[in-house]
Amino acid sequence: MYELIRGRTRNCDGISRREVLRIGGLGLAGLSLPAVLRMESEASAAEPKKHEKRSVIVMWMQGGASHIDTLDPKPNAPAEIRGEFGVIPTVLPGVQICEHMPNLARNLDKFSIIRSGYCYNAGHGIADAYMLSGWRWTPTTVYPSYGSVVAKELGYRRGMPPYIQLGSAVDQKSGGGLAGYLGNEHNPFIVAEDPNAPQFNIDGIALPGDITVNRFSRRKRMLDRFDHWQARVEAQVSDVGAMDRFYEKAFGIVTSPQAKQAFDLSKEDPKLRDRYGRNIFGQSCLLARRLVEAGVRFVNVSYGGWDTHAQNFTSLKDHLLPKLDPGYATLLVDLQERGLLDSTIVLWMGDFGRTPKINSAAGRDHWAGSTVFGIGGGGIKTGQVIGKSDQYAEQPASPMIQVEDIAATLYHQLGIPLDTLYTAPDGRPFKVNANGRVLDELLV
Amino acid sequence: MPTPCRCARLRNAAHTALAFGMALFLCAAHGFADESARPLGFVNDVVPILTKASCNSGGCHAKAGNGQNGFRLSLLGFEPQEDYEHIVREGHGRRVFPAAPEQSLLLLKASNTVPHGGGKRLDPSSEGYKQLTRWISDGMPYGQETDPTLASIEVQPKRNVMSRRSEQQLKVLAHYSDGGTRDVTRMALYEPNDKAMAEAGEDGLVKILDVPGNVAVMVRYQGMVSVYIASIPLGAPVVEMPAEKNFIDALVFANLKQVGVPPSPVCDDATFLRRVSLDIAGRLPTVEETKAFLANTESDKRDKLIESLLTSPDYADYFAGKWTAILRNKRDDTSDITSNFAFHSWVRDGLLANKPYDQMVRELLAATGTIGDNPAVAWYKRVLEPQQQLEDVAQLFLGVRMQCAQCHHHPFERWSQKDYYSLGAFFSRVGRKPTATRGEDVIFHKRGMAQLENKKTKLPVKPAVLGGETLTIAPDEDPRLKLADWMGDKSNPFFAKSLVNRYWKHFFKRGLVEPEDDIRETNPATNPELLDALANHFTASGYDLKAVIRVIVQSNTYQLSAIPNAYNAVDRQNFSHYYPKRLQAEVMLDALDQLTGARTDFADLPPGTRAIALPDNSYNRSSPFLKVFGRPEGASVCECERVQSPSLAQSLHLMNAGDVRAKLSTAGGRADQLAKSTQPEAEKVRELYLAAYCREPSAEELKVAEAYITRPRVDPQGKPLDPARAKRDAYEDLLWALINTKEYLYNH
Repeated sequence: MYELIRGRTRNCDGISRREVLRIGGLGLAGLSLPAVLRMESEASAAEPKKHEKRSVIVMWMQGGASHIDTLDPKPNAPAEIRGEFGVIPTVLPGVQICEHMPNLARNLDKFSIIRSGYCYNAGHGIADAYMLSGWRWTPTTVYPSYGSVVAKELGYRRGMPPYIQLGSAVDQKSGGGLAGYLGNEHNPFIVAEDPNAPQFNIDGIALPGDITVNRFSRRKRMLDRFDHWQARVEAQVSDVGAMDRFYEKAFGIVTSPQAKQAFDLSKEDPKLRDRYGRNIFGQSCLLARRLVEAGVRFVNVSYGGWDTHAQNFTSLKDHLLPKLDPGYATLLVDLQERGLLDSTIVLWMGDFGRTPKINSAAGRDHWAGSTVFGIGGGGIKTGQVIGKSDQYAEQPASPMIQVEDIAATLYHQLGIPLDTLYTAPDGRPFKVNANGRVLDELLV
Repeated sequence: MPTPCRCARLRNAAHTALAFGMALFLCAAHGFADESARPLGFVNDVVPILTKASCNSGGCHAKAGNGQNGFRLSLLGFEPQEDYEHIVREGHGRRVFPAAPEQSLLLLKASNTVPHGGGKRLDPSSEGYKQLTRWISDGMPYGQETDPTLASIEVQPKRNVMSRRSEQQLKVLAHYSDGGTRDVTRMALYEPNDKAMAEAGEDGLVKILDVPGNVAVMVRYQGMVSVYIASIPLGAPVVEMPAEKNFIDALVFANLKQVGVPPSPVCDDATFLRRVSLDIAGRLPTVEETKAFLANTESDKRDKLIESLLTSPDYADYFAGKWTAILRNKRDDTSDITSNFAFHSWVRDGLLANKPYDQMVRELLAATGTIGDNPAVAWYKRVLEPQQQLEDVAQLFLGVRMQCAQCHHHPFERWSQKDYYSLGAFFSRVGRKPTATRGEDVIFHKRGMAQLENKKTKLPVKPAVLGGETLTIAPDEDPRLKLADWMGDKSNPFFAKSLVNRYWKHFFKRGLVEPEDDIRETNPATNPELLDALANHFTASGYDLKAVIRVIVQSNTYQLSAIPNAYNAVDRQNFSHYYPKRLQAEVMLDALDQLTGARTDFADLPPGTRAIALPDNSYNRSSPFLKVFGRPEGASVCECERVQSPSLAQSLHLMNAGDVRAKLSTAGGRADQLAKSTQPEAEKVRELYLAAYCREPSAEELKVAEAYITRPRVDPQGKPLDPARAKRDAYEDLLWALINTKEYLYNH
């Protein structure tokens, strides 16, 4: 009976399909088989199909992008706050953003800006854990990141791993980006290699030159002939069976052309690749699109270098923004042209905001009081600015929006009920979301 | 922002009734009917209904902070007076409305008549609903001071023998201070300790499933706990028993006879050699060791092997890894390297010298000084506050989880907040001062009266050991020494049990109590006599850690085959056969190096250092292998931090990751050497099998492997490969196949 309440729970009006199956399996509570079947069909009919198609791309600006120098400029503030950059108009009347983001300015109809963000924490590591899970960090528990929840709840699609992280710019020290108590199997598959490199090749997925698919398949056939020990013990060791299933999936990924093609950026028009930007971030954005097309449900495009304690403006102007702007904007345009934007949420955020007041090294330090999010796609209402920060972007001047709310909105759009309950390995129960608010203002 | 309740399983109770609002309704047939005239009181008659309906669970109205929607109740009704205030006086009188009881918000919400975030918790036709209604219309009496108080609860039956797939209706009686007794079956809460073995319904109906053995169902009512234990025999004929080599065998086999589960036979030498080497020394035997052991005809060769493994440095390396992870030897800052290396060496050297366990714990608990002169103080560097210290110590060395008792009476246990702070008071005089070394404190005894403030009452609490009298400790005495005295005292009921259970699990995959560090009366051991006997043996040995291991691995119970017979495959807790375990991350990495002839290098450590000897978690960052296979980060006192579950990334890694591929094709490695060797191919295949599995290949395996090696090969362009290259490829392929078999990846 206790098991019935773990996983998804619903009140009497909305028993989930999974629960119905479990109830049916246990034959409890005097439900007749026809009643169970009826509830089951109702439950499945109630699950909208649109969720099945949905995917998420998170752009994680590790280090913490300056909110003032990107999507929440303060052109009227004194110079020590305003900084060196000017502003430009966008497709939205009256809305201005940093002058070094011309492509995003032209495409602000494809995402919304949240300017009343607040992020409570100003430490790296903890930021990765908090912002990517929607749970404030505690020393006793590693909460699952969004991708891990998506992997667990929605699972594999067309044989592709459900959760992929591009790049290594996620600090895992405090569990950032990981599955935490949900367990290893829901950790991201991490692609540390640079997709902009000519010899881009994924460790573990693509076969190296000297091992052909034939040879690999030969190996696997030999393995199948040798691997008979478990047949005698399988009944008693459940994880042996699970391991076999992962081997089959892994074999499919390694040998099927699909995964290989998804990672093969040479299939893309060089002109499009140029538009994304010939750098690790730009090509990661392009790769994220290809992965989503191939069936991956959640991609984290990690992009480091935003911890601009010194030379903030030089770093942003010369390196970070010229890569961010075309990469992010081209992804939105490209997704839209392919009809994928309606089903793909694209979320842009970083560790926290940065100090409004510029420091003596022409840098900005960590700032928990205010931050900015970009979000669009996947049924999110776009082309609007939500909330505002105060005159110096020090704190929200309208009701604050925190990452708990972003998480609730993501899960809502993906059809993952917010009262989904999980049990940690030590027996403690946790809800999927820390009482966030689904942001109605973002829903179409 | 609410902090989630830190205690195990507590909040689950929240939702038991959620999917089944009808559960209460189902059992409306018996109970209160004959009591309709009895005056109702809040504590005895209302709180149990709220508890049963989960209103006061941690996820709902007892949520830390203010309770859901501003309606606050104490967790599981432990503070009835506060709850009474909140229900009767708060909420502008809307929560209860005696003039029209059914219009009370309490009932409207609980029955979901007006929308309720928690859904429908009480059906209007249920007895609980009717009783609440009556209490409200009676004017919400709190009750009298003279009202009887709950003295104990009793579950009937307490213990019995059940057949598989059968049912038992439990009956729960509440005994009151006035000698009165009430049937509270429908108001009690039920939880089995092994859900693969039994399910317990809301109404106390226990359904026994398919797995033989002992299962306990914990019964809770109003802060009291009791247990029902079902023995579920398989009832198969138990004819042939292996010889009894020591008391473990006597007790395990007696239990097997009783439950009718026939054991598998004792395993063969090859299996034993591989198993015990992996379990004690964390490594595969070498080919030479294997050949020598298999050829040895002495009757006591298994015992001799055990001795040689126990004296090997590999034993100390392997178990130091186990201990330092749960002692939180974690690298958070590069400057931690010195203290982490020193602490790891301290643990390892103690294990190698077989320092008595009580001595080791004493040195750790009472450590003073700097890391340079006493590495044990590094534990105080990681574990900073008295609360954390007492919680860690209780879980690590006593197998008791105290976390819940920080804020409220432990719902499954006898521990109160007083017990919690009393234990913490031993750590109240730990002084620390920064030293010249970055990140390092000197730890000393800070003179003064040992006491710790109870966070709730704000009153100071003096030290007392669990279940002991309050101690008065002179200001000059370090209270931690008193705690250490009690730890190793023969009268300590927790210390030895906790260690032997932890070690039992290391060898058998499953503790006699599960989880291994949650030993309590309401979570009984599957074989309590065995747990007692092991603890007594450990105490009598003078807390000799090697003696625990020796007696375990010498037993025929440990040496049973992993292959189930016609009956015992279903057994999960009687140890009728060996339960296979996947190799741990470090062990697997070392095993790969050993089989392939490769070497993994680690920063700041001499070349050739093996993964089982790594001093802290920092290497998980540089080795994707260790991370993917779940090496713990030393962040928690729980062994559950080590992840043994399979994943896609693991399969991809073993099949095709760069580091594994590089090992297979290492220059001068095993594939390379075998390819160049002029021995007959069959001999080489034999050697490979001995290296991987400690056994000879079967005739069929030999045939397949030989055929594979000798078949002609072509390159990707279809041209024949040169024979030397072809042969090396073939041996790499063969190695690849072997490392990906479950027979290799598991200890069995």
